[in-house]
Amino acid sequence: MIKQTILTLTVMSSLLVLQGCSFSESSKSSSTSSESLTSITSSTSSSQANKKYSQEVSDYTMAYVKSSVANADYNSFAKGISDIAAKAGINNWEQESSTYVAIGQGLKRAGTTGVVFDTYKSNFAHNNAANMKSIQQGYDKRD
Amino acid sequence: MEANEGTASGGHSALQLADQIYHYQHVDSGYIRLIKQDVVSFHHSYRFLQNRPLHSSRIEVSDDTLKLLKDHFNQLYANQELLFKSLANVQKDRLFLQQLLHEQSSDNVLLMKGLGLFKANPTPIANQTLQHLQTLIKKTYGNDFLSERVEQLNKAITTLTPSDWSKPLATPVYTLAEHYQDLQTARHALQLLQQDAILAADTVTLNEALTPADSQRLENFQHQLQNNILSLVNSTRPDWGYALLINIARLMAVNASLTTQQWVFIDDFSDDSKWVQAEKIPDLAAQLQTAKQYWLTAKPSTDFSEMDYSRLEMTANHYAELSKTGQDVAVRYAGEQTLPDKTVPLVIDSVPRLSITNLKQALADLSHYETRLQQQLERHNHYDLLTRNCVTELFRTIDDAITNSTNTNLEQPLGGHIQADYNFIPWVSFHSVQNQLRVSDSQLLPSYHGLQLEKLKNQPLKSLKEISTLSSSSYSFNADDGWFLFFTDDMVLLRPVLGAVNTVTAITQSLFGLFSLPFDDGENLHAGSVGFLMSVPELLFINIRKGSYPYLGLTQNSEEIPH
Repeated sequence: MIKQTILTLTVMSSLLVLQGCSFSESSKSSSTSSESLTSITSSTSSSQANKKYSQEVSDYTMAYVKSSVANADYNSFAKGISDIAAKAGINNWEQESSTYVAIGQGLKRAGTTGVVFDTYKSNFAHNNAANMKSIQQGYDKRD
Repeated sequence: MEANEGTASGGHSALQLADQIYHYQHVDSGYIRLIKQDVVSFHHSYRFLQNRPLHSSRIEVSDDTLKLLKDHFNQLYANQELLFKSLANVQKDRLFLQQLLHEQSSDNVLLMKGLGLFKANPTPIANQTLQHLQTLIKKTYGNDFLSERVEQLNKAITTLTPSDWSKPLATPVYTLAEHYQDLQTARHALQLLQQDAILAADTVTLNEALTPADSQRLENFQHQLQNNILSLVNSTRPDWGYALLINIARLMAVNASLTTQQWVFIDDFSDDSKWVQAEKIPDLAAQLQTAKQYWLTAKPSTDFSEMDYSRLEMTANHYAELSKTGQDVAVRYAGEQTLPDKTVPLVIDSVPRLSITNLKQALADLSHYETRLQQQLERHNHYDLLTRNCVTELFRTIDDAITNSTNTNLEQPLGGHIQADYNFIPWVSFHSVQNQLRVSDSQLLPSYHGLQLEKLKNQPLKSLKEISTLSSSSYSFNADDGWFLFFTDDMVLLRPVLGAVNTVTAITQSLFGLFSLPFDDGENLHAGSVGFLMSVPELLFINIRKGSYPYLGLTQNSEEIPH
């Protein structure tokens, strides 16, 4: 009897220990998670926060270009940039030249060259000369 | 990461690469998803709020290997975000199409972000910010610009076409629902600009006077906001309406600051922030001091960038919220947003001119795309307790990064190899890392409760009081935890005895839950049952439950986070 109980408890405990990894409920409210505040206040300087933003935009651009068909949709791309910028506390990302520099870096990392790069450049910059220049600057930047 | 009751009773695993932490989470859609977090927020969430000790192993790698792994994980994260965004977009587009076909009720299917930042002024007093903006817009674009722009948007809504679902999977698609939402938000934003009797809905005023330098910086930011508004009303960006609303609300707050000479901000708490009774927050006075310190540190000494202002707005909201002290006062402890959503339900007052046949065809195309997308996610992202979990996927991702690398010098860059298939339990995989990889340093980083015990190690009486949840000075019972009487994580020898008491306590809560079932929707019964399952292993010297600390301030123990 004692043996059986111990066996049952051991099996139960093992199953519990095997229970899954961290579980996240997308619908859970933010009542006790101060993640966004923790995150934004943990960046000790503006330059650190800017660097993180640029990295995210560059990664996103690279992923976007690699998963897009030839006629990439500017609107869906811009919506993705808005999401990344919002997390960094940036609303007017079109006014930030760092956004376009990071897009240029992402285009370089995605391996775009020649006409393909020029097409992306003019589409993503919406033919704005200053923004196109920033994209080129990011593209030419060395790692 | 050791286990705890609730979110992960089997423990957890994560990989830190420089200043970022990567880990896989099981999400409620049944998939496993890569999460990227900065070091401070990861430790705050897992070690302190969830009270879980962390066992860490440091592996020395070359700069090339570090870069390779970082690039691979970042790339994977960005790809996966696109995939999950596609899934969310598909589901939203389906609801919208069904709504257009009258197959779905119109209740809150779509929301408009930003419009909750405003409310009608009950007294017919003109809003000077809006009047000034109207003058600026007329001066820049002409008298009829706003009404012509609204007309353009009305026309754009009627000529909308269904999303193109013939594209390859995970190719980003700007959906019909998104497009409709954006156009409607922009239309409402412009209509708001044409009115006078509108107010910012909720604002936060800090009892702190502006210094002359603050006023000067705010005036500069005011000009920046006005210029942004002028650009946005004529922008080609798809979501310019929401961006415009944020700028207008912030401009109203900045103008109020300059008029009253006190700091005024928009309320930036998310719509779903929960209210907590202030007396449940431990060390509220100390937390208020910390919040004030954060706010003061966030005040830049030069002109504000947008990022600076968002940080200032968040810290001000946190500080103002914790300042609401008194009897029976409820506060929002968390939920500050970098850019507030403040949604309102979308009223579908005009619709695209699409025939029933068009809509049904769009729905069929969408269903086909959704099936393929679900199949792909099922193949690559389906969570499985033993074969695809937070540990196996970390090792597989590392393997993929190294295998796919073009750098031929990277033979065993970590000093060895971990086979993901045999290392699906976090603590087993930790031992494999210790034994098989080039580990240069290992540490046990204590949980929040562990840190409290360390601080009290020279005070035996106070340490003794920390054993029980009833006498502990650091722990207060919260609804996330089931009832338990003893912390057993540091009491190895006494664990079965204390565990027996915890088990009886959990049974008591379950019995109580049976009686309270009609009044609490089974909350006590559920907490008691889970508590029972989590306490039984203690009888066999296995500790799982550790309690949690959901209301810990931001800087508490930040010095204990390794950088």
